[in-house]
Amino acid sequence: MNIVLRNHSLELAPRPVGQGRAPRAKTRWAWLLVMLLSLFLGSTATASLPPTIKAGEVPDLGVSERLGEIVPLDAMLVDEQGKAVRFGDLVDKPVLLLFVYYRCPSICNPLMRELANNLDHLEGLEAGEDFTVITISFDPNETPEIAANTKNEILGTMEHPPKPAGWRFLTGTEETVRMLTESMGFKYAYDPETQTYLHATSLIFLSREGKIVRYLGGLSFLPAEIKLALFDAYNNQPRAFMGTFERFCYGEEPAGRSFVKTVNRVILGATGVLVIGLSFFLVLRKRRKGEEDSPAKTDASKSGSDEECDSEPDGEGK
Amino acid sequence: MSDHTAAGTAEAHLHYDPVGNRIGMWLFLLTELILFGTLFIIYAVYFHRYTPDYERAAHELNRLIGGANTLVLLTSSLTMALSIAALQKDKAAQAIRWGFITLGFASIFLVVKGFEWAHKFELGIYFDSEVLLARPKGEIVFYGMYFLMTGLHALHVIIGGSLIVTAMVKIKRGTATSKRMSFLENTGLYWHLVDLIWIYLFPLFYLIHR
Amino acid sequence: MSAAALATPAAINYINAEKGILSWLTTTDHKRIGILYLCSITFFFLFAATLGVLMRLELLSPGMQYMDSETYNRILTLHGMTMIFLFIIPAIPGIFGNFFLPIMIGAEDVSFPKLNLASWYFYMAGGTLALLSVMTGGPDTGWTFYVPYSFKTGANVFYPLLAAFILGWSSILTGLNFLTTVHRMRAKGVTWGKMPLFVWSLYATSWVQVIVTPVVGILLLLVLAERVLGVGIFDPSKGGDPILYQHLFWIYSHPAVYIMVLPAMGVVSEIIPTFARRTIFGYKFIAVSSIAIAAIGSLVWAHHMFTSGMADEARIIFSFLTFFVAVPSAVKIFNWLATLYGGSIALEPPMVLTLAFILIFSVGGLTGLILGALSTNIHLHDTAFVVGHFHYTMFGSGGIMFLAASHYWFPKMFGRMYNRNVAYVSILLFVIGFNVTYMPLMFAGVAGMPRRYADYLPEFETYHAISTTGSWILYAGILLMVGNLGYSVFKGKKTDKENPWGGKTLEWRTPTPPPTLNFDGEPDTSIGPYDYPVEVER
Repeated sequence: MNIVLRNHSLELAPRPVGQGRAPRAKTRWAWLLVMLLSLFLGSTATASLPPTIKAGEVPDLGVSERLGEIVPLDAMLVDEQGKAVRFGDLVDKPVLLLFVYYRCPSICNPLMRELANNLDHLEGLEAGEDFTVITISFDPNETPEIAANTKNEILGTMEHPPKPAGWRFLTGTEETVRMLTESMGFKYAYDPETQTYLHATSLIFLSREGKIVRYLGGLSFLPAEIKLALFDAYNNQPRAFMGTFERFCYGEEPAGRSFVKTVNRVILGATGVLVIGLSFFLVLRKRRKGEEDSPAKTDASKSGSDEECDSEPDGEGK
Repeated sequence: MSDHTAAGTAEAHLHYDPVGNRIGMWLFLLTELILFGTLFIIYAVYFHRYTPDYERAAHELNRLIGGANTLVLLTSSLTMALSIAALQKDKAAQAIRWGFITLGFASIFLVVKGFEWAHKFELGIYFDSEVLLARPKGEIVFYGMYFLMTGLHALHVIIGGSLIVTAMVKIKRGTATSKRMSFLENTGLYWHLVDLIWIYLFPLFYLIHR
Repeated sequence: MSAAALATPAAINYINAEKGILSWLTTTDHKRIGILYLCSITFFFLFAATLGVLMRLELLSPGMQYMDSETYNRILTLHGMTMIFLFIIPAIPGIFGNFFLPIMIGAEDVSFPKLNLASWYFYMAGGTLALLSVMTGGPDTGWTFYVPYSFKTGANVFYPLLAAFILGWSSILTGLNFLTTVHRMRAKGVTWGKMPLFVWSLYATSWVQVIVTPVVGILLLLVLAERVLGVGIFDPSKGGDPILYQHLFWIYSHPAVYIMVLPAMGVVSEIIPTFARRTIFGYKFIAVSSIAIAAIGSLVWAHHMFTSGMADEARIIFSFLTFFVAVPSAVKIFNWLATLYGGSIALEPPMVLTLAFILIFSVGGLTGLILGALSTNIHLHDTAFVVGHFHYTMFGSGGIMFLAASHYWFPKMFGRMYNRNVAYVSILLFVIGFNVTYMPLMFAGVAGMPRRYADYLPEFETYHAISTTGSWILYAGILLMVGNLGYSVFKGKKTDKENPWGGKTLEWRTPTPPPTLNFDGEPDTSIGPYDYPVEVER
């Protein structure tokens, strides 16, 4: 199956390898401007993220892309059987990585199912043969048993489930996982009130060298995008595509959902009132015009020969 | 009419249409209202989410100063109306006098506002400042909205002020008279809008805490 | 009005009334402002079309050949931004609205001529800023400037944001001007019920513009403040919420779709009766449906957000509204067809383009329904199908009708005639190129081709190869068409026929080209805008 990848890589061989996020000559001026502005405003402070959020707050979630950077390959994780495993040892093929937690009540499961569904339709590429899928839990309290259960459940939904080594479900200590997520710009936070983790979703693609080559955000994917990203991972070539950031997704956020509803209602109501008010106003105006025809300009039904156009009933003017 | 066809620009030929001018102004005011309305929606959404933070932050604003400023602006609306009334009765000098009094109130408002802002800056509260970023998120948003909305409003006060100055010059020159009221009237409309927006801003920022 | 003026029609018209570039740049004559718009909009149109061809060139085969993906992203953004903000939105109202709206209602000018000129300067300032953004690296946020990306990206979105804000004000001022003009400047005899449908559609458009543009204006200003000052209104790390931005953004941007489509429909309603020699069928329905589209259109913004966490009942409401807005649009199409039925159709160039519009826009509308339906939407949401769909609706309406209007009103505007054979050839190239370019994209989308990608899998190569070939035909058609018209402005056959097509609206009853004050004497409003002799009916 690697043939497909190699063919593609042969085709793509002459193109230069992208430099990731390094400043480019073309945008030097833009950078300069932004730098000057930030110097001028002294706005270089960055707040560090607390692991636990306070009530009523919206944490800094999402993913800040670190394309082209190498992830820490020496991180030690635990596999489904409870055995310790070095992260770098799993990265011997292109890697499709996702951070979730297995007891997640909302978007992690749909995310994994969507991915499973996509993997079923990656014609010509097979997890375990051409690439490895790695799921890492960021909940330090989750055990390998939970991971194994989730693995059974998710692989059970697939038409062509990969070999066990094709999709790994790992757990790890708080420090290790945080080191990994931070190296990939993936942010999450624990909400003690609902006892859940708040996080975004992203598929992260790594090359065999452990270099970050692509992020795919959101909750729905096309097999073609995953394939293309895997090709890039195979070629060790980081690239930013527009699709990745426009589908920025907040995922689970109970407050957020109700808030979206509220906003919808407020805006829908306001627009409705506006439209109704406007039409009401127009009707009233028309009525009034009908009663006392304004003499200035709109009165014309009497002037001229519009009896000709009997096929067309006159509008407001009459 | 036909003697104009060969020469002269269309503009010189256009007759003065006070109703048209008023329609145009009201449409413009509508866009202004929607502009601020959007900010009000954003304000409401965050207020709903961060109610305690909002109340805590609002506590730091001085109601007395805010109230005084409200009074100043309300009075200026009255003097603006008096200026229009004076011009309608062909009392140009009186109209100009009321206009300048309105301008005086506008400057008082701006100066007071400036001191309020300056005080906040001294405390280290401004966009992206370390003091502000260390605070709860709701307060960051509150101050973000506060500076944005009062800032945009202050900009409108300045624009309104320049409109008043222009109107006064026009009265002085005799291009704005009781026969050609549109400019002064529209300036008045604009000024009342500025006033109206402040009447909403004041309780939203100064009076929401218990 | 004196009889002498009627006896000796003024040889002086709006073009030769004053001389020199300066007289054009400082003019308050709505016709000259229309010409100013014509020049600038044509320039931006060709610029953006060239960018489109460059993108298609890159997509000719898989892999990256001529540019890196960053460059592609920028070109994509710039293409979308220029086409939408600098071409489709202002094109028909800016050029033909300015030129013909006052004439069609028998007025001498718009209500606020100076403001009208100011709008053009705003437009130019915005356009220049947008171009400046190319020089400084170009934006790569997409034309929606979605936060939080739009304030975190290293590339420069400052200029394009400012540009969009200024352009917003330009269109607000134009809308305000048109509304006041329609209310106050109609000549005696031009009642609401006898107003040409083009004027009706501009009236509806102006309302949408005045109501929704301030929303996006303030939003862009907020993003600007976010970038420059770090306010935090939409920044999650400071307590803001990006989803709120998206909602507010689509409140503007969905109705903006109708800002683009409605004027085009107005032009169709003018061209069809003229060349079918028949009274427009269902005048009142068409007029009212313009208003209805404007009103309902402002309610359906959220269907762009089906995948970003919206409550289920809200989804259903918006899905329903999306279907509902199709009703008045369909009413119009049926009315046009009914007008054509039994008419003696003259297949002049503007009419051929209009028929092409009906065909292409129907495809666009139907594919829109597929996207509006909830279940299918999820699968097609981010595929090339969407790209095909909106090119069929946007370019297929605003773009084609801009070209049709140019061919329709050209003799009136310049007192010259273009080469009709060349026009037919260019239209043929255009229509073939159009379908060959965008149809394969829809098929590619159904096959799973994601949108916004500079690279793709080899399995999509056939679709892209066909599409790219189509883009060359399309581009050749456009260049030939614009070249033909541009050449004819200076070298075309002179004509002073008042009414070359036999139209009934007021602009066909004034000298060609029109005098500075539009009419020699009072406009003759005794004939309604669509009073064609009944006997034509067979």
